[in-house]
Amino acid sequence: MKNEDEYLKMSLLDSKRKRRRAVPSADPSIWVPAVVLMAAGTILVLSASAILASDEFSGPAFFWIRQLIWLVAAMCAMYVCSRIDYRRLSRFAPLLLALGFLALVIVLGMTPVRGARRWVGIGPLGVQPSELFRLAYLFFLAYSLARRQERVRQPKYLISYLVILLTASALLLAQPSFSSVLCLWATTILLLWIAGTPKRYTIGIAGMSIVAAVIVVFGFGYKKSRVENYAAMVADPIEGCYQVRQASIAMGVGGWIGSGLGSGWGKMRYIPDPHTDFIFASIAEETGLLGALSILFLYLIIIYRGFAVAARAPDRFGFFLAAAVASSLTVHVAMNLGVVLGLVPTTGLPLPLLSYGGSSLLFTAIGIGLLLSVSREANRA
Amino acid sequence: MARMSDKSHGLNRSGKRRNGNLPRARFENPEFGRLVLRRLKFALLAVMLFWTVLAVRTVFIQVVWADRYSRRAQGQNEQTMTIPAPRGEVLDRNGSKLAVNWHNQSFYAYPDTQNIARLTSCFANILDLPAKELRRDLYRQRGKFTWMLRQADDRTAEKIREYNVPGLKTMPEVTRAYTTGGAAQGVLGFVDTDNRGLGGIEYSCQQWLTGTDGKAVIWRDGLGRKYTIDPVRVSEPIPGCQVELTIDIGWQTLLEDELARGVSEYNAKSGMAVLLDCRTGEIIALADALTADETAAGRTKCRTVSDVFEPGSSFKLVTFAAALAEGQISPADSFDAEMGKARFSRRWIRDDKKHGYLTVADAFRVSSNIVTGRIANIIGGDVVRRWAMRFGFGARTGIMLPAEQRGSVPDRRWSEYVTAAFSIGHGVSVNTLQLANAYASLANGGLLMQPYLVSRVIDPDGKTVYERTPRVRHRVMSPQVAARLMEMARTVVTNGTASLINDPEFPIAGKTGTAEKPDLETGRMIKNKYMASFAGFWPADKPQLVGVVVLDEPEPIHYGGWTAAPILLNVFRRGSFADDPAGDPAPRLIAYAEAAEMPTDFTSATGSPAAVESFWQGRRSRTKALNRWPTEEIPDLVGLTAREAVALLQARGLQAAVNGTGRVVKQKPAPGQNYRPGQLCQLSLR
Repeated sequence: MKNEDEYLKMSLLDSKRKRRRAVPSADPSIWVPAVVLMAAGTILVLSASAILASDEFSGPAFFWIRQLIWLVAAMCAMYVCSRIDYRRLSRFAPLLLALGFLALVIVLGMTPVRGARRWVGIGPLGVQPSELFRLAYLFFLAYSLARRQERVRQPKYLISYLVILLTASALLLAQPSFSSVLCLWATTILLLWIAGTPKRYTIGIAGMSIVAAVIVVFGFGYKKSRVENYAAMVADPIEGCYQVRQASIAMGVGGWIGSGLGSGWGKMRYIPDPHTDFIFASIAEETGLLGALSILFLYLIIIYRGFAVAARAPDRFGFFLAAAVASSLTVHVAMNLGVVLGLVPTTGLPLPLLSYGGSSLLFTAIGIGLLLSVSREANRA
Repeated sequence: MARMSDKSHGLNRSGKRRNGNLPRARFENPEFGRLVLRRLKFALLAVMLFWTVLAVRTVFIQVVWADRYSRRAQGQNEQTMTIPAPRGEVLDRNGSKLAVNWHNQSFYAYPDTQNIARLTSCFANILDLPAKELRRDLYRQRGKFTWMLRQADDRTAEKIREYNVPGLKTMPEVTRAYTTGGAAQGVLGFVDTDNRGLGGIEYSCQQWLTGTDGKAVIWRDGLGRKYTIDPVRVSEPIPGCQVELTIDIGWQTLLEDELARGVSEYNAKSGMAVLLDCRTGEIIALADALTADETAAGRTKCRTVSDVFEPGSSFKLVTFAAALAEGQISPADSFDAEMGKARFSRRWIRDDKKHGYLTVADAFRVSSNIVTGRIANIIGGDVVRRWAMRFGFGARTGIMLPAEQRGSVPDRRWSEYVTAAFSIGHGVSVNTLQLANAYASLANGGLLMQPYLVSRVIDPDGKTVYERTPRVRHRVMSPQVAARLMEMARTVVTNGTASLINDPEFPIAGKTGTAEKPDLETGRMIKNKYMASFAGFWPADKPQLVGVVVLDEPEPIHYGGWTAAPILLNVFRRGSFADDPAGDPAPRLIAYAEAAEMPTDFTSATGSPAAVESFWQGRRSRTKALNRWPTEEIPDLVGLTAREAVALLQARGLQAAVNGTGRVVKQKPAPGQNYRPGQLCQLSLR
């Protein structure tokens, strides 16, 4: 810590002295798929949301314009983050986490939109503090795990993580945002397991969280019906809930090559959220199996490269930061696609990078920016 | 892949190259670092496995199960809409449209909190309903399919559209409408709300009148809204065939008017009447006046074919025709009428008046039961029965009307009394049309025609799918016998039971009938309850029309010659004063007549009146919820002939009750007053 400032000065001097070619480039097999997904996302959001937007909002481009603004912001943020040396940010991790918690508290004072307090308005654009929190939390977790190393195997540290997690869960459930709690838990368990938590603790925490989820679902009747017909839905999505049925129908109509961009019928008010949670179904209908598998593949590349960057990260913080970003992306994509494909009980969750939704896009892009920053250092010989 | 491994991008390779399975990042405990890297690889493996599951699932949904989902999508996206086909029109013999179609709109909505207020303000205004109750009803119906207004007329529909209520939708409908203002309803029948015929021609010509509905596909979005502006028409609606009747709406109206007037004038319970073209068998008019009970129950049948009665003296035609044709009796033969009371196998048969000896012709003229009975006993009861069947009694006439009753001509042990009773029309039942058709054979030279009601059916392409030309069933009697009977029928009017209606300037011929009604429980005759009937020809010398009028229980005068006969006279007289009495005798009549060896010199055909202005221009509102009609005024009819006045009234959907003959002197309601379709307008003529 002492010589960090020295190091900073040195590296600044270094970078000025060195030729441009010497600056290691960010991993293109991460940012290219990410940019492709984001760019495709805006087009697909326009296609999927135009009908809904002209029906219920000011015009067909209502969502698209907003998504474009967020896209520009997200691209800039991604670029900036990829240029920043992530190590310089590590000391802000506790502060960031505190900020994240503050945001979660602030949002509870907002007026509910559709029965939930999830947005904090900044001008015309709303921001979801849960997304901010997610990034801050991942950042903090990476920072903390890097410092703790093997000590993470001690129960007291585990418990400290669980306390943070439970507090966050309580705040998120108060919004309520059950899906983000689920993702948070899944990401945390995955990350803690990677970070070396003993198997029995991992199983214990996972078991406990499942019991907790069951209690939340059945004890409070929250989303009970969605779970109840889950088994039937996996066997045949047609038998499942309305959204999944419509998603499957739309995808089935798409077939091999799709009905063509813009000419899908699922978005004609059949799929309830064609541009957010169920955008994958809209895409699969309009671009067919070809498009759907391409998107699956693009995500897989990012995640694969994310884990690879972790393995090659020059320091532990980089290792855990890359692992955290990749895990989080994995969990979100897997949960969303699981819902759309009828493998997971329905829960509202956007598809990162593709779905309409500024906060998700922005903070996922920042996360990927950090991942790129790590990859830049990993590429340094 | 090779390039990637060279550059040490790959996970495994990089691990191998760098000191075993260690991550590049330095961990204090290398063993722990190794564990972490291993778990990272495991995690990646799990991710790849799950991605495989996702991919397989996607393939299943998009390819393997695609057919099912596509069908499902079709089921929910496409909605087949029926484009109602107009029902075929029904025309009378002169081409006046009797039954037509209205194309109108029905309005429906799914009321919800967003549009209840708008719906309420719109329909409360238009239907003049209390807004509060309407709002309450709509609130109860919210989310459900609700008819706001069925079959609105154009004007109302236009007004409703001006309100531009969100969520208010229309459905095209075709409604059956009758232009006759209530006339000929028994013949035409009626349809239910789905345009299925339930009576009369509407029922019996169902297969022609019903069109084929068209189909259109509309695309609907997830909220059930139409997505295509115009439905894609899969098949066009094919209208039903046009049915042309032999009915003449002018004569029909006249007959109904006169019958209704006669029924009320003679205090009868009900009445039936038929007008036939005696040369062709074309049915010109079929009328029935209903009893109060039947009116209340709604019209369900055409009584002229679906009700039978004991004809009484009108049936004597059969006996006399048999007697003359069998050659055993000549008109000059005379019989003892036994002063009004005679025994037939120990039972008494009475005459209305006391007569001594009567010739056969006189017996027909004064309608002597006793002489008729004696004649029947000479030729034999079974012979009379055979002749009855020859005249078409006991068999359906086969016209296209539902529920025809054929009546009965029973075979029995022909005792003297039974034979006599049968010969005077007791113990036999006939329907009005059979009676008219039997009398027609007298006027056309002895031929029994096949009566018919539907002359032609034309499909929408103008092709004739059915055509009926006059057809002779068989010859009943020789022209000589027919002519002799005609002479006798003339004397009935000039000097017989129907002499009340004798008018040298308007000669008609006919035969009266006054039958005691049997008590259905005891089988005995009831005193003072009679079926009065009259079968008449016009003109007497060269008959064109044969008419039968039957009155049920006229009181206190019950003689056919005093009740039914004046009604028929009025019909003939008023009909003959038509503006255009000489309808075009169709060439087909001549052709058929030649084939049947009939006189072809009918210079004037049926007295066809001026075509009734058929299509009622002022479309009335058929607003069920409202029952409010567009206001129009009754025209001034004073000074017009009955026919002109009736035509004017009919054109507006009004019913006319005509009193007297000549020209209209008084009308009620007065000119300029508002009216309701179907309203009765009373006209006094002098």
